[in-house]
Amino acid sequence: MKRRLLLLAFAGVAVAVGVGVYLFSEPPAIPRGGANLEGNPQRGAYVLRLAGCVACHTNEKENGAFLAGGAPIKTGFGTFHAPNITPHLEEGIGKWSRADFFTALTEGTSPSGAHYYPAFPYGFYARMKDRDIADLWAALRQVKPAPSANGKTELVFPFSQRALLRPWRRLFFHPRAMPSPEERGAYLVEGPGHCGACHTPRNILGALKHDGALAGAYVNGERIPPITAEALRQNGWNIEDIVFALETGITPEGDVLGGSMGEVVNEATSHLTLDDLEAIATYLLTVAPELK
Amino acid sequence: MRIAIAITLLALGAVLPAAMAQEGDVQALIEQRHQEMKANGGAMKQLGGIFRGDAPYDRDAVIKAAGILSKHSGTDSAALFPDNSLEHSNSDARIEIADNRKRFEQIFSDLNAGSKELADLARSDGSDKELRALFSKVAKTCSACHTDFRAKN
Repeated sequence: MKRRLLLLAFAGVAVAVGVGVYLFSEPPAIPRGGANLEGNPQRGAYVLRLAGCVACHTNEKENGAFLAGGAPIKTGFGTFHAPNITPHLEEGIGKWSRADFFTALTEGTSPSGAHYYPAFPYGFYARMKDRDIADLWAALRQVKPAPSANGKTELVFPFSQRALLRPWRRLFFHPRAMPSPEERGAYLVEGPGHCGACHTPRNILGALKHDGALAGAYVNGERIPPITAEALRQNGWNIEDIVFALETGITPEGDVLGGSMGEVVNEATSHLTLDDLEAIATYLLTVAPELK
Repeated sequence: MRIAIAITLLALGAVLPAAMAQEGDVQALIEQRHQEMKANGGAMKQLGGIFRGDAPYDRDAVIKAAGILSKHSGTDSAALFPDNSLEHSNSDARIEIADNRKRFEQIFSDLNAGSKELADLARSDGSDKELRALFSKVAKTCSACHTDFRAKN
């Protein structure tokens, strides 16, 4: 009896250790061949808007320098600051290589090996095409270096423990290929556009809920509406309405998209081509998101 | 004791009506700005319909709708948002207006100038492309103000 108990305890400890080792170990890196690609800065300037980089990394309200760090992002876990991504050598990402940039965007890992919090939507950026990432990098290299120091991320315990991001990634970071990468709308919404970062609800650990893609959420006390095909149709939105709202911020009712979506329109979607806006609208209205 | 009660009542009698009158003024301002915003929303709905392609282009309708926007913008409209009317239970106007008064007024004056420009362009039969671009610029002033100064849902 005693022996059996001991054996059971031993098995329990072994399982716990195994799970721990698994959770705290690094998942195998996904090889990306794109880090050798020479980017085009003009195209990259467009991707900067498309991927919402400007909206988060520029503090428009305080007249902050372009991409030199954004306004504080307050969440239930604490306050995040999107950092300075200008090529400034000390305060920005001037010392990074193109490969560092690829790793940051597609694996959520900094050059020092530290992991990013999911406030940085790398789960979406991991789906970006190599070409777009290389172009983005080329554009960032041409931004004027700004010496703005980064705001301090202040999170409540235990979320303040960055080491816990390793098991978090094991549990929740599963980059998958796009279901139909050739379809522009799917790519824009599920990749660089990262609509789900706000419109998909999150669980108590801040990971996106698999069964609620684009079903609406609460972010920092703000109600983010559902934008599933069903919800959009119920509210009477058609392709033209969506294109127009993303371009001008004006809804079919003559109301204005304010709050955080106002920033998205001002800094991102109003800069996109009508073709891209149409692709986004078509995807949202006709295809239920395949990627959970 | 009685004297104390009497003094208290007298004091309240002096202060309350003044406070109520002020609250009444604030309510009237809120009511007026709601009406203006509603009218502007109606104008944007109509202009949106035209520039989205839902409704046929109608020169007079554009001039009229732009006229509604320019009537309800500029310094007079910005003045409907005094500090004591912000963060009010009946209003979505945020306290940030008080801290950024200059920017707030600038947006209202941009809306005024932009809508007048739009009416002028329609009068002089500007091209579809020019009209749409100008409309988009006017819409951006709406979005800028609502993003920073209207309470989030």
